[in-house]
Amino acid sequence: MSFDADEALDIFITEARELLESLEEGLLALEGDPDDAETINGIFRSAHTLKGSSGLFGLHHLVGFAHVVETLLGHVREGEVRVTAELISVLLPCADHITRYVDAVAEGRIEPSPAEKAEADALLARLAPFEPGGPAAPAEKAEAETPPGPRDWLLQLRFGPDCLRNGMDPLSLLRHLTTLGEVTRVAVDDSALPEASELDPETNYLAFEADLRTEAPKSEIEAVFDFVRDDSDIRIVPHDHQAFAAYIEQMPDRDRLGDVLQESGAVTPGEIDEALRIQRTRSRDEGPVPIGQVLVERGMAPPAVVEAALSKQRRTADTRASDTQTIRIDAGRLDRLIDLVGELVIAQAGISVTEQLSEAQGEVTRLIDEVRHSALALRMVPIGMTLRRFERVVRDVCVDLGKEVRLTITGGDAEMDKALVERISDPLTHLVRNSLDHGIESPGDRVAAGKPAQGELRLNAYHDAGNIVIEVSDDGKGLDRDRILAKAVDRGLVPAGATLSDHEVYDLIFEPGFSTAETVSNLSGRGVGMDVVRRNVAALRGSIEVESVRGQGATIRIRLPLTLAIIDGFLVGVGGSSFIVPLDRVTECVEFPADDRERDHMNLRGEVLPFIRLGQLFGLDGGARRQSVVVVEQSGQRTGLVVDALLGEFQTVIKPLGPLFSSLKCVSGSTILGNGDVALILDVGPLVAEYSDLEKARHSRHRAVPQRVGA
Amino acid sequence: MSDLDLDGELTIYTAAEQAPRVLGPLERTASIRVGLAGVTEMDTAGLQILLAARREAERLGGTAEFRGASEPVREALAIVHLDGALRPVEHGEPRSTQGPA
Repeated sequence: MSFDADEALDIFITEARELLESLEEGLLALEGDPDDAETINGIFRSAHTLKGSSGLFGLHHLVGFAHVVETLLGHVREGEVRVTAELISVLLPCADHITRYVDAVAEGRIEPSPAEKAEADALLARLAPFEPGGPAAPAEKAEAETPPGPRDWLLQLRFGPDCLRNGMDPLSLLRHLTTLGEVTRVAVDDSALPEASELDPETNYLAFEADLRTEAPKSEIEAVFDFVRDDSDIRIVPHDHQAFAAYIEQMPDRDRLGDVLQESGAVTPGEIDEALRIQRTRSRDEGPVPIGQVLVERGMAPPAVVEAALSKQRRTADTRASDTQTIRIDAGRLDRLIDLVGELVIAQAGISVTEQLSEAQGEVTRLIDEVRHSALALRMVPIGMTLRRFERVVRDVCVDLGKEVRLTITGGDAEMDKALVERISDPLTHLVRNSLDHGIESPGDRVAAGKPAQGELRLNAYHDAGNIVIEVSDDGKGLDRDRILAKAVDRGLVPAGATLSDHEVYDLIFEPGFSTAETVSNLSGRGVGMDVVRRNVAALRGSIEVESVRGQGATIRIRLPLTLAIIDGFLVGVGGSSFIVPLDRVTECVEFPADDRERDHMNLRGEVLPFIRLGQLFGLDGGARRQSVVVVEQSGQRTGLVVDALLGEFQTVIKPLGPLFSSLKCVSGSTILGNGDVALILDVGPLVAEYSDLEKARHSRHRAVPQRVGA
Repeated sequence: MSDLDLDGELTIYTAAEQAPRVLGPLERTASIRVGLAGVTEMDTAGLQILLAARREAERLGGTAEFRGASEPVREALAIVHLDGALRPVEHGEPRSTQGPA
């Protein structure tokens, strides 16, 4: 092959996934508008391209399967087959099947498992009734699955001395070989026969060598000798090393040498097991022995084939390392970045020749800033791709639950870090399912409540002060405040008779083990609860909150940083230490009023602002003559942080704290300042929550005082 | 040169008695002519006796000839690509191997 097969396969997998996505989108769109010729064309092309390129990589299973799907879509395009909801319901699982298979190929498993084969057959059987000409041609598939062409094998057969006595007749085994293919050569080796006087006529002294040309896989040839294997030495080696080496060359990646050889058909699982056994015993006596060596020495595989498999294995390891770092980017963004770097170089050169040093330096700083931004932009992808996937989730869940729900997606253009998009997908899925399962009522209940039978689920994304906000809202029955509270009391999460704000009550659903679902459905209520969602979101430095109106619906809002690598920070000094407050949390800075020194709240333009003395919290000697208050906002609640000095904005590359500090709640990381000092990055959410818990505990010793303000 | 006509089965079941019939005279005469027309069945053990006779004859400086192979014998020999006289059959002149398996 003239191109790099590994690289090409990677590209194929990326493309296949995109094709599958557009196939699925097309199918979903088609359900709403069955006659849209454009969409039909699109999905036909997707299936066609998928089949074509999988053929290039010898993915016979996929070729066979996609062929049937493509043929059917061809009939749809010709107008011979009508698009119905039933047809879509069969085609969607077909797309799923291909997706799973492509995933398997990406992991290096090219042959479908028996379960996958069974699934494919079941799906094809479901497709068959839609074919205008009756059942889909099964011959196509069978042909696609047989290994290509006959192969030449060399069989070296040393039967055990007792095989005749045990009723095993080598001649009849050799005769049986002719049923597998053509035995082109047989040689009898009688060199082990002793002199006549020593000959025991019932002991076997003969060995045979045979050339067999067959289409049967090695395992089938091996099976012929199953009964004599234990006391005989049976070697079945491919004759055409080159063909095997070439085949191994174009196989998908494998981590283990044995897998490569086995997959290629050069070696059978039984032989691998035996080789492994030999390897173990020998390793005990003589130190480590490579399995390839064992295979060659025992004559199980020719050296050329093992060599090909070894080099395959090495390349697999290489690509594995780089594979996960591949990212497809918009060419325009890359050009922009390259432009900026060019400018940066020019500006840098300017420093050495111009008199106006500060001006040049200012320019460099500005450019570096822009380079940083565009570098970050490289990682940004629109969230719409992820959100649109939920069309499928909604559709499937609705079918399962017998509900009617329309999904509206807005703000799909909002961009966020690719790594974040991937990691937020699971929590979002959970939230969507939760809304469908517990939020939106059955059509009957909805009509009874005076609402349209079709429910509405909205996914909305937007940027807000350096964050991306993703909302999942439904027009269902909303959260049941009383039941949540009752349950929380029941579970001992809150004391009986406690007065809680709506927000505090709704927050309880994120507590571990908390589920108000009366019936456990197969969608949610399986123990993986909202607490996991919150933990996932928190791990991304995000926050989650709930709004709900009884009977009218609920909105769950996830707030995430745009990227995980860099934040804009606000540097403050407390005593001799520096801290960074994420700038997007800071709303304003005010002077600390001299007359409020003893209190823990102040008057901010007529509103009560509780504040936290950072010096006190961290046990630092502070108390500068003029202190300042940094007002931070978290989930609509404002809190002041009392600091000694405001040091200004600071772009912060986040360095994680060591595992030693992993239990620290109020600090999310650290960074290194220009002067080499370390500054801790404050995690505002937990900081405020922690402090108010402390306060509550302090107050409850006196009297319960309602203290939460705002929200 | 001694002459011998084998009959009946030439298999593992009869090997113990058939082998001395062939190899015994060979020890004395170094050459032997074995008639195979009466052999009704042959398996690997039988084949081994014939091959042993040939080797032994060669060792003793004589020859072993095999004649008149019956159909069962030809069939068995064909499996290992040998003709009725136990000479290798060149590939390309296939013997009938379609006997009952």
